[in-house]
Amino acid sequence: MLDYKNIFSIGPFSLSKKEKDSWYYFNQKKLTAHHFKNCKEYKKITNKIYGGLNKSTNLSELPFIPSHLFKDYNLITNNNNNNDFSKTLTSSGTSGSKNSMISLDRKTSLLQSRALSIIFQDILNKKRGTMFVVDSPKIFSDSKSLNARGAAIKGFSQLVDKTVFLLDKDLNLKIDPLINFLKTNPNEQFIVFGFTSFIWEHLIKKIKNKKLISANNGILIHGGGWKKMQDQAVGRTLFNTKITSTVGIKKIHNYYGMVEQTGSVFLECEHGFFHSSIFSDIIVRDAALKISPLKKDGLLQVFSLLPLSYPGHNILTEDIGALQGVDNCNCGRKGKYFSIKGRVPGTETRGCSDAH
Amino acid sequence: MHTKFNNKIQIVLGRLMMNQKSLIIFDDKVVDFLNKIFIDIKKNKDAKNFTDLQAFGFWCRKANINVLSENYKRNKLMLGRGNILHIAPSNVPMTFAYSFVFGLLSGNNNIVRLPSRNFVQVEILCKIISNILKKKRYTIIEKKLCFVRYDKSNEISAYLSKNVDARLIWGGDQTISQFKKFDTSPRCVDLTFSDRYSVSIINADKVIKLKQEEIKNLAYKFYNDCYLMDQQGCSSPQAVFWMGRKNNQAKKEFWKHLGKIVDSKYDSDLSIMNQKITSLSRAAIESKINFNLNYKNFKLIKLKVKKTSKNIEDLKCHFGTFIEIEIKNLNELKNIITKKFQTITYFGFDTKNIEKFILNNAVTGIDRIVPIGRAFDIGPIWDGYDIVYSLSRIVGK
Repeated sequence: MLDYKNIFSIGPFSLSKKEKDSWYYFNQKKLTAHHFKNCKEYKKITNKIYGGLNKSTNLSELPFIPSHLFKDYNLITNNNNNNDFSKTLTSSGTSGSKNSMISLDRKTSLLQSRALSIIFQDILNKKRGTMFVVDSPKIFSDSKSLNARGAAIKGFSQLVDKTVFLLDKDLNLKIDPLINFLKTNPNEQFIVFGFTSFIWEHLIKKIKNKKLISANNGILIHGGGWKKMQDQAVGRTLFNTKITSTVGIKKIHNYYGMVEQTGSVFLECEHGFFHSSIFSDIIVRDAALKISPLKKDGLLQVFSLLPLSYPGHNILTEDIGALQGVDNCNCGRKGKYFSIKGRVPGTETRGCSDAH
Repeated sequence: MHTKFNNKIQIVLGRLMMNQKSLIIFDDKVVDFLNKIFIDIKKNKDAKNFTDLQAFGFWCRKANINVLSENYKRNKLMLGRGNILHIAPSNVPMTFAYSFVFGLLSGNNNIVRLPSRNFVQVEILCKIISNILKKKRYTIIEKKLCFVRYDKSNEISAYLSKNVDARLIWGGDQTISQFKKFDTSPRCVDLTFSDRYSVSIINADKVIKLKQEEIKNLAYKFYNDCYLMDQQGCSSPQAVFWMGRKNNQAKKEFWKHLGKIVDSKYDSDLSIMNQKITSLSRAAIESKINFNLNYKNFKLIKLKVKKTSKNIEDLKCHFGTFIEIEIKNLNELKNIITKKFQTITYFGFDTKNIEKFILNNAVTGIDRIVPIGRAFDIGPIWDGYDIVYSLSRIVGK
């Protein structure tokens, strides 16, 4: 199995492409073999479509799973040691569409939490303080399964000392805890976290007329649900401007992730690009399935070193985006960075967070 | 028409006529009207961009219709059965038009439900027909057609089904099973066009005798059969059987030429790519058939299948995906062919031998044998029916 001790000891954005490529391919190959051995569906795909396990010469030639298959099948990688499936994760899915089903065991779950923590250490101070979640506690009402929003909230809760929900069970805004916090702890760091469309609908839109007290020490982290934002033509600039003018927070980070790869999310930097960390990698493919050149739109294929109990380590998404550069982003982070444009037409909208 | 449907049903063309009198088959007035369609499509600038609309127009010309009419003996009186309901498939633009014309040629009144998707060529054709019908000369035709659109509604479909003398139900197994649930009159005739499967057979030894230009031409015809509708048409081949001693050489040449054509002509996009790789991955998981995916160009995928397996039709091949199987003689096909098989497109065979094979082996499928390049040539004989015969009332004497 993979040497996770080693993986977690590396700075998440510290490796250049040259340093990362063969190391990452080596680890992905190991993970591929693990899923090949223990997931019968993955094995069939590998044999019939890729001519067997050992045919690859680089990362792009490893067998991937088109993301829709997580809706069609309950894909499980089960090697007797890890049948302690603790939870089933589901994408929240738009009404009428099928959900993705992710069978999560304890080990994978732990790896995901740790990776998430390491990725966000990059933008958070060591002292983490309080997190205000733009969501409702009812998200945790089902003990057996968890949707993408719940999984993200749970993951981020582990990064902080205290979690406070800002919405009640009917999704009404209860802003007082945040206001009180700002009064009593004017100099303390805090985090506001939520799904992008939730922050827009239930926070920004609700307080547009009354500017909150300036919250200079806050960091806002949001992700998912960008499809809904796109439909309303809310871009990054407008979203960020509104946050600053209503909540007063200036430090805002989006992230790109999916329920199949919880943990190894792609963090948006100060310049608006998503970055792959050492846990992840990204490839852009054109209509002929070939690798797209820099800045050219294609389907995003995303990798993760974390999934052990289901074959989510190598997924072709239904999201369109373009690689924007490698190692040279102005933010200083090493590795690949990219942008996202939208969802491929003709496929049912999947939107992890477009839930209600 | 019942008034309660007034808001739900949109009449695009004509009127809901229920009691117009029937004409004889291939009535001169109908042939004249069809020829006018041919002329007007030819003249129409907007129609130029649509090869399927052009093909339909060309098919409607008098010379072609007259040739078709030769097939029907006129010593008996044959006239329309009455009112026909046509349920067109939603994914193929022009099927509704042929269906309508078959109904007209057999002398009937026609209620045609247009495809639910808004195809530009459908709009153009409706406009052309609408203009023709304004002429006094075609009043009689105007009373024999009604093009409608309505959102899926069992209520409307049931009502229409109850009041017609025949139904042409395109659009696959699901649509058919839905329509079979509706009450129809005791004498109502149903022609159903279910989900079908089609294949090609190629004589390799004949291919290698061709000049490069001829192989290219053959590949081009094959391309038209397969790629024009993303290989989704029921007569588009999904499997290719190679017969002969020089298989490898023939395959190499044929696929090479097809690859070039596909590369320059077929517009794949990210959505197609995603659907294609998703459906292939699904097939890898679900199909009992062992295949090996093979491609240099993702737009042209070959699935190598070693043995001639049963149920190859379960392996769905779309957007340029082909099962490839080598056979030594036609008889090897007898265990593969099921009732689902519709069209065999061929190269390098004598149709008599294929017919002999069907007869000798009492094969249950195959309703059509045409040369490669003619998969989409639709005619009154389709899916094993003679549609004009089936829709007409033959007065015995």
